[in-house]
Amino acid sequence: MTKIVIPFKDIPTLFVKVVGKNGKQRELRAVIDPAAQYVIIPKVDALHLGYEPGFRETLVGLSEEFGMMLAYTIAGPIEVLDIMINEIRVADLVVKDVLALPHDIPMETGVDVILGHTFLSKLKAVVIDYEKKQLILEDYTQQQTESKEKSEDRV
Amino acid sequence: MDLKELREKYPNLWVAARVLKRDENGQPIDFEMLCVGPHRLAVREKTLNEQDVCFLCAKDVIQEGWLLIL
Repeated sequence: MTKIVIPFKDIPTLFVKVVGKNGKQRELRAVIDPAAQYVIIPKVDALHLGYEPGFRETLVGLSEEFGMMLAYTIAGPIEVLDIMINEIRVADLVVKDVLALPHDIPMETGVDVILGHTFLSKLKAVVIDYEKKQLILEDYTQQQTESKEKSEDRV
Repeated sequence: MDLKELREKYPNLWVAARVLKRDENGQPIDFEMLCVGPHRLAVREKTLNEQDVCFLCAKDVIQEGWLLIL
């Protein structure tokens, strides 16, 4: 089990390393958002790391269309193609196979990445302690991960 | 542009930096600036061939009290 304690001042932000298909990695500023369904990374970084959104073939009548999905944001709907990120690392904590959307969030936020449900749900606990001004991330032990996967397979 | 100017006049600039020091949780705290620009794309383009680069906004350097060596 790995437990990471990250102090913060105002907003719980952290640096995460996004590992590419091509072995490259980029360290980006991220914010925790439990209300977001997906992880969001900038389009330019997705391409740099070798994640070219795959074209999923969906049959609509007799024609094939690109597998674009409509994602709903506070600013309105956007059309995106999802990608599967090999690894997202926070120090020793490693989360594998994370579904993400390549999308640029406004630069004025000063943040590049949103860590949503597809990342957070793979952790055992995410605690934002506003009293101590600490963000705590805790993952499962190997044994717990295996039993969780087995129970998910059963469902 | 010096560090004071960067922090005070241009807080929304994006910085590409090399990490010099990390805390006990692996989070970067000291940086060496590689380049600076008004857009996240610009700093990435300038450091395309660099390894282990991290990207941050100048305002975070001010808020978090990190060390940024120009």
